[in-house]
Amino acid sequence: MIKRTKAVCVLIVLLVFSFSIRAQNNETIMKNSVQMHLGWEQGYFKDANFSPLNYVSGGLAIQMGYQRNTKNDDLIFISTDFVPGALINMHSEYATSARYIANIEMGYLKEIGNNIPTITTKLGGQYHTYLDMAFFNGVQAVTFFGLHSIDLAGKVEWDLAPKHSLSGTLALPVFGLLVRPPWTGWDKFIVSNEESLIPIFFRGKWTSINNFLACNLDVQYQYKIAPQWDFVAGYQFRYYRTQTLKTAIIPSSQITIGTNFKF
Amino acid sequence: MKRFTLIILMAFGLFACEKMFLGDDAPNDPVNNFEIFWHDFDQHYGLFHARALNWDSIYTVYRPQVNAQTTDEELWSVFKNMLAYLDDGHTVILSHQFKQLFISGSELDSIVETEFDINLIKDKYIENHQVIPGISSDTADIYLYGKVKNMDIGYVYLNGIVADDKNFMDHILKQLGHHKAIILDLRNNFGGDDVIAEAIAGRFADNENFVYTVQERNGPKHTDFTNKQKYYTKIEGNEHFSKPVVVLTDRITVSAAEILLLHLKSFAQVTQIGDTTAGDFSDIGMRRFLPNGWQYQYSIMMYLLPDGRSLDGIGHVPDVQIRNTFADIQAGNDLVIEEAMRYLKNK
Repeated sequence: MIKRTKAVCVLIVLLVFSFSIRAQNNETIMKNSVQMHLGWEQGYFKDANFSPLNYVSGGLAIQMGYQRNTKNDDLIFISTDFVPGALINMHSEYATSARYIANIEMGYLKEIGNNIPTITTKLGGQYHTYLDMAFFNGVQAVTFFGLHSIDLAGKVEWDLAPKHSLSGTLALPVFGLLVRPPWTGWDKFIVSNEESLIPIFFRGKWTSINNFLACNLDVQYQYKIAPQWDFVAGYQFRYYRTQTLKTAIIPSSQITIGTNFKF
Repeated sequence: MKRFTLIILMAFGLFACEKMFLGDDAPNDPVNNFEIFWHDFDQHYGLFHARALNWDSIYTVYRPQVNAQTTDEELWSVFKNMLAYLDDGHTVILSHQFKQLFISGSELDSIVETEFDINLIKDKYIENHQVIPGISSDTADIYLYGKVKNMDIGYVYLNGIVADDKNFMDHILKQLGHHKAIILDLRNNFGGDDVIAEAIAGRFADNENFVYTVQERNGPKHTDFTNKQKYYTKIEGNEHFSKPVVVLTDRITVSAAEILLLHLKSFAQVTQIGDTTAGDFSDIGMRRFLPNGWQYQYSIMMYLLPDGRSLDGIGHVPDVQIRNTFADIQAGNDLVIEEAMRYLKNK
C-alpha cells in the first residue's frame, strides 16, 4: 500500500514537472496561485479519552490551496489538507486504528513594510477548522479533536536568490469552538447524527487559549522552474493540546513536495 | 543555500523529536494495568448507582492480589472476578494473547442456550415458515416467521434486534396481520439496535407512550449523569397489529431486545411468557485499551422507567413464568411456546 502511494506521488510530481517545462515564459506579474502538494504525515498522538497509550501516526498528506496577492501585496488565501492515516501503538498490534486529519484555513494577511528589500512580512488572521478523528475497528472506539478557530497569523517571505525563496507562516489559534467527545466517548447524540456528522463536528464549547494550546507552522522552499511554475518543498508542523475532557496532545509533521501554478 | 539546509535540518529535527511532547508511555506492568482498569471503570461505568455496586470494595479486595510479580494468567483471573461482580452482559474483556473473551454475567448462558431450539420450533410447532428478508447477521437464516400449526396464530422469531431495513416488520405483518394473535419469540436474542426495537414496537403501538429515560455518565462521580432524555413508543410504519401478542423471553434476552420489551409492555394487548430477561439495558461504551494489549468495554448509560426505577440487574419479569429444561428440549417439547399457545387459545 505504501509502495503504491509513493509511486502515485512520484508520478504526480513528474507530471507537474513536465507541464512546467512546457510553460510559457511570461514576465507579467501574476497575482493568483494554485498549490498542489503531496507528502507524508508523521506524528504522535495521545488522547486519554481514547486510550491511555501513546501512538505513532503516519499517512499520506494531500495539500491544496489558492492564494491571491492584492494590489497592495496583501494576501488572501484558502488552503486545505487531508491525511488519511493510521495510529500504531507499540504495545499491541491489535490496537491499530484508522486516523483522519483535515484542515481548512482561509484568511487575509496584510503587507507590513520593512527595510530589508529581500524580505516581506505580512500579518493578519485566518479562520481555521482543524479536525482529527480516530477510529478503532470501525467504530468500536472513536475519538475526535476539532477546533474551529480564529487564528492570528504572520508570514515572512525571503528571496534567497533570483530563483530561490523561502517562506514561513505561523498561525496561532486564539479563540474557537472546541469539539471533543462526551465523557464516555460517545452518546445518543452521536448515534442519532452519525449519518451526517456535521452536528457532531460543531457540538462543542466556545473557548480560548485557557482551554487549548495550538500552533501551526509552515515553512516552504520555492524554486522557480518557469515563470508560472514553482517547485515547492514544504515542512508543516501542527501542535494541538487540550485538557478539556481528558488530556489530548497531538503533534504532527508533514513533509511535502509539489508545485505552485501562478496566473 | 547553507541557511536553507540549516532550516531543513531543523525541520527534520522537529519531525524526529515530537515524542518529547507526549511524555512517557503508560508502563506495561501488572500494577499499572490494574490501576488503569479499575480507575477507568470507576470514572466511566454507568451502573454503580443503579445496581447498588460497591466498586471501592473491589479495589480493597483485588488490589493487594496484584504486584510486580503477578503473571498474566493471574491478572486475567483477577480481572474476570472483578467483572463477574458487576454481573453485566455489556461488560467484557478480551485478550488476543490468550484468545479469550470473558462476558460478565454470561456464566449460565451456555445452559440457557440448551433450553431453546429453533429447529424444534420449525419441525413441531410452526408451518409455512419463511426466513425474514433483509437481516445482515451471522444467524440471519434463523430469523423467521410462520403460522402456528392448527391455530390462527402467527409466529415471529428474532435472534437479534438487527435489520438492514428498520421497516422489515411491515413485510411480516402483511403476511401475519390477519391472524387473531401473534407470538413474538425473543428467546436467545442477543440484542442489537434500539432504533430497530423502536421501529418494531411502532407496529404494535396504538398510542404514544412514555416508556423510559436515558442518562449518560458525564463525570468522575458515580452519580454524575446527563439530564434525562425521554423515549416514547410511537406509531410507526404501514402495517399495524393491535390484537393479542405474546412475547417469549429467557435469561439470554438482552439489551435492545429488552428495550423492545420496554415498549411492548406498555401496550395492554402484550403478555410476556417465559423466564426473566438478562437485565442489561445500557448501551455499551467504546473499546478500551490496556498497556498489556488487553481490551475491554462496559456500560456507560442508565436506563430508568418513567417512575425512576431501574430494571438493570433485574430484567423484565414475565407475566407467566415458565422455563424449559434441556431434558424438555431433548424430549421434543418446548413448554414455553406450548404455554403461549394455551394462553392465546383462551383469548
